[in-house]
Amino acid sequence: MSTPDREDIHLISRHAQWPASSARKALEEHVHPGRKDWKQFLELFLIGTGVAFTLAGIIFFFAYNWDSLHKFVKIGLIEGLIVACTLVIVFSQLNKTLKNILLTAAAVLVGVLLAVFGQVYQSGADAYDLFLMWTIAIIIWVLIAHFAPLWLVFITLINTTVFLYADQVANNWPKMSPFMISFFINSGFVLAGVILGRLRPSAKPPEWLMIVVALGAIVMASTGLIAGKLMSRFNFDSLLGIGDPNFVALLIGSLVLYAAGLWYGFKQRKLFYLGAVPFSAIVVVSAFILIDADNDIVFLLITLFVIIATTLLIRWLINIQKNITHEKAA
Amino acid sequence: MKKPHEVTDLLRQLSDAHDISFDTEVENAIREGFEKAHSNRSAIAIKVLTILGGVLATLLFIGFLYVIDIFNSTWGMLSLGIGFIVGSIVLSRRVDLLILDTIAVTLYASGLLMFGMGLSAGGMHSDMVSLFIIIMALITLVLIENYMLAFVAAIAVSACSLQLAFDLRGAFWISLYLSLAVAGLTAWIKQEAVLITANPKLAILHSPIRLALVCTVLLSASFLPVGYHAPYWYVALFPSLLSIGAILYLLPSILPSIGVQPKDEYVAYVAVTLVLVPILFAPAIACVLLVMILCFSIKDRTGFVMGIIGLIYYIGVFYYNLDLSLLVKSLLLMGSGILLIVLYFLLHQYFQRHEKI
Repeated sequence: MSTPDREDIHLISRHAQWPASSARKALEEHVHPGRKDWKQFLELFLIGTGVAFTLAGIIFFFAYNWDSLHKFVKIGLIEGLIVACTLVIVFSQLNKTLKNILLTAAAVLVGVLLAVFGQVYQSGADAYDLFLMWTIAIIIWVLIAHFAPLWLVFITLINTTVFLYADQVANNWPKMSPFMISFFINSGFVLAGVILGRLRPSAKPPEWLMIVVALGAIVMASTGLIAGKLMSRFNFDSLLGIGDPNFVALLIGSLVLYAAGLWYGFKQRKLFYLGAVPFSAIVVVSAFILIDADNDIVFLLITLFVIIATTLLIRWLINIQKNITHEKAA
Repeated sequence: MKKPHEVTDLLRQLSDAHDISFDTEVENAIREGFEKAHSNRSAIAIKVLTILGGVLATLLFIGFLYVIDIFNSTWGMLSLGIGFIVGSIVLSRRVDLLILDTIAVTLYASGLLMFGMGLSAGGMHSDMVSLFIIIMALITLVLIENYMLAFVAAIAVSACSLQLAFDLRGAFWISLYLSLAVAGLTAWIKQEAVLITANPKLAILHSPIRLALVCTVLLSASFLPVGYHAPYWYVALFPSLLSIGAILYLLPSILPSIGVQPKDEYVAYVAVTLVLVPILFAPAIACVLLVMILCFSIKDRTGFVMGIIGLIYYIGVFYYNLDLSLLVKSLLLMGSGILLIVLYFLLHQYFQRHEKI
């Protein structure tokens, strides 16, 4: 027999006169976390914050002692820590999750090492060089560990590298180019996750990671398209116009990948894709109309468009949700 | 939520477990309630979409009002504001359909904003404007039975109350406000069973008000005086004392849940107190830690995740604002980190030892 959840108990309380003690007991037995949940929470909280604090302390320590430490001590200490982390991971009997947390810490320390190296030897490299090297250095760990938080760190580093490169090196690129590149990269990761899940179900990435990366891709596409449209409207960049290849590539790429996202969401019954993609389209279309507007009444029309489009989208999602529920019941 | 056809089994299960009975009339009312709720049930994606759509539409509508220069017309803004608020309440009461939530939220949020701007344009002091909006939002909470509108109304009450505390220009008032929010959230969560059985309306409003209280605590913690050089910095101790007290108050219900033996409870109390004492001087961290523990204790995933994000942010802000050298900060962090890791291993061993027994 399935257990009641919070909504069930609240619903019953609206219509029935049952004592508070019974409602409390029902909540404690069926809704509140049990022993296993509390233990998991406490253990993850303590180890997670412990590792994070220690790592932050190490970073602050180096920030303070920067000038007085000999260069070999500076670099040696961080390298020593990285080696110590990896030795513990390889030879200890710790459980897999702990080892993955340690590996993530080691991956962050690699970035610290590169920063220290760059400062000591005054290489004169741009910040994007650091992030690029950091990304390349941890690729093998990311692939072997296949730990979702480490993947998130890796993908964040790639995105940061792209934006820093566009800012520091590729000064002649249109302003929306890093958004376009980031969109394609993040979409690539989402596609890879979907394909991996099909080929090896045991290696399927967790849903939260897929959602975060997909959300990143959607935000990049929306921002890039709106930025491109703004640039062309106010002629900030002489290369841009509706025929600009970067803008066209982002537009076509967004249309294709958004369609793929919708198809995937529909096939797999994932409401996130079915909601986020169309809402992004609503935002982009509204922005496009607003940018070209030369009439006050356009604001009101766009408001009505957003309300009607969002309402229709929600209605569609509710119907899909009902179909999902019927399919599960069957 | 159970499906309508599972309601009979559910009621029988609860009747047997808690020695209560539901008569036929009540059972039919409950079944009808489940059918209505089921048709309106929405996943988190739909709730988020409703809020985002409402926010976007509200901003665009405000933009429209700006370009047509209605902001200079006091009566225009007041009439539109009251009209929209009344319209959203009537819409939500008459037509209980999820798809109209976006329209209701947009109307209500726009209406409140225009109502407030109309009163300001008429020369009313900002404190009085906030008071009027609080009254309007409280009236809304009495009249409506809609999750989204209740959340927006509760947020309006919180935001305007914070504005009142801010306007009094004293760290004391902001600390008092946060202390009240912390106490309110703790009571609201701990007395969930009492509230939902006391009044049918509270059973509907409990979840949105809980979420609004979580947002209130998390956001208003950022307005506390920062650093020991800030004027009246010691008033920020009120909310941290209250939060630490609340965490210790929760311990008697948490310790048995995690399997701490009765003979070890005193040790647990001492250990928890020692861990919490340092955060007495970090009130934002104390408040957010309480939010995390409270939300986890009732399996409120949204509040818990918000608490985690808040904890990361406020810890960062705390260390950034510490008036100490980087060396001392680094030693503090490493010391805290090592202590937490040691605590993890001690706890892990304790659990393993007692599981074997």
